Amino acid sequence: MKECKWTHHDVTAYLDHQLSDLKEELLKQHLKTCNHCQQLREEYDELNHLLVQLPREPVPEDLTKNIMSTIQPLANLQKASIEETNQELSWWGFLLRGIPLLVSFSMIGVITWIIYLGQKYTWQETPLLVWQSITQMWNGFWSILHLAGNKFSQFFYTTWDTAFTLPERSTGPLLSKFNLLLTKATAYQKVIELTILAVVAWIIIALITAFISSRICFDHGEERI
Amino acid sequence: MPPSNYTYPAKKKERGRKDIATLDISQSLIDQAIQGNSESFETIVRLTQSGIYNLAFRILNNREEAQDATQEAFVKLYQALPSFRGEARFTSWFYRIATNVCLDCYRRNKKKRENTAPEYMEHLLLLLTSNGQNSNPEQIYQDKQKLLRLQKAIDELPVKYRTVIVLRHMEGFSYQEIAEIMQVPVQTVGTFLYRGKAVLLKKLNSSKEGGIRVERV
Ligand SMILES: [Zn+2]
Repeated sequence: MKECKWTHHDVTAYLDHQLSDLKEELLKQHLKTCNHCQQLREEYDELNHLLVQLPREPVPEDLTKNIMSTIQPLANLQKASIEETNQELSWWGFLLRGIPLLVSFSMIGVITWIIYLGQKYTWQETPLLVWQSITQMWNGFWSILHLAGNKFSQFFYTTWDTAFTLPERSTGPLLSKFNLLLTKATAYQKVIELTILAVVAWIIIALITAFISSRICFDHGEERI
Repeated sequence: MPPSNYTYPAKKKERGRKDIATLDISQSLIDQAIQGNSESFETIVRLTQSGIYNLAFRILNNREEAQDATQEAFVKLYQALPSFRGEARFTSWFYRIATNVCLDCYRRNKKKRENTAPEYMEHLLLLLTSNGQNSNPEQIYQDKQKLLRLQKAIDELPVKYRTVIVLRHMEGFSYQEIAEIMQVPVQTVGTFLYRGKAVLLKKLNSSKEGGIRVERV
């Protein structure tokens, strides 16, 4: 049994079936004739068996409990952060956060404007001037809309217009009362239209501001879980 | 020196030991745990703690430290769980985390580390005396001596060899999986295993008459 080309490494790899098919076959053949390698193989085989026989260390009784109690604070943290994320993403959440911001910004804007006008003219004239500017702006807005000549908005406008000036032929106690209401409403048509549009515009601006502000002020920069 | 042109083809038949390595945790259980379901996480703990604790115990040779390391490994697991994408098998993925924790712990306390785990030796002795009533006393004695010598030799092994041997022969991972767990090439796994076992064999053979060449029961 001189030094043969097979090593301890080969024999352990052979026992773990880690040799290539060719090598495995070659070593298998070699083992039939070489006592030295045969002995090695037996020794390593025995060692593998002994290693598997070594008893496992029993798990301490309270290990699971201890692990779970270590995890608990982390779990609570995670839960809180999930809730926070949900809150952050909820529609109402950010609307409620955005509206106060919008209100304060618009207040500041209006007050600045009033002060500006009060300084430029007289304080008595200011309310009238404000009102005038609003109507001016409003008319300007409408003329731009008309100028744009959007068929869609035309369609909306005429539809709602005819809706407000309903046919008078319909009779009956309830309907007549309704018609009466409508006639009254028609008298204030401009005002109603103005109010509705103002509210709609305000809501849209509120939504945009709320969205932007909630991104800027309330984004925690945390990854969603 | 082993030849450098080793190839380690993936083989089907190479499972060492039953349980841990072949056990796999279902993706749905993992998903539930990620969603914050603590019962699912506890199930994962129950299924894997024995393997992790034993790995920690083998690396650290100390019960208390092993318990601490196991807890730390599960904390790490809990934190890393959302990033588990199923690109590896869950068990080998988790063992990688756990092995890192244990090795870190080992390095941290390296100075005051003792080589043997006396409690385990006692436990081993107890187990061996209660076993094998059908063999003759001579055989029992020899088996006992062999295992004790082996245990002592394992304790004295360098930690990386010990870890590889534990993963391979006690937890039953394949070479490929051990390579993933320890983040070394497959060839290195083979080399560590062979070197570790060569040392064990040498110690077993030198310490007692006739080495370990005893006929199998
Ligand atoms: Zn040979």
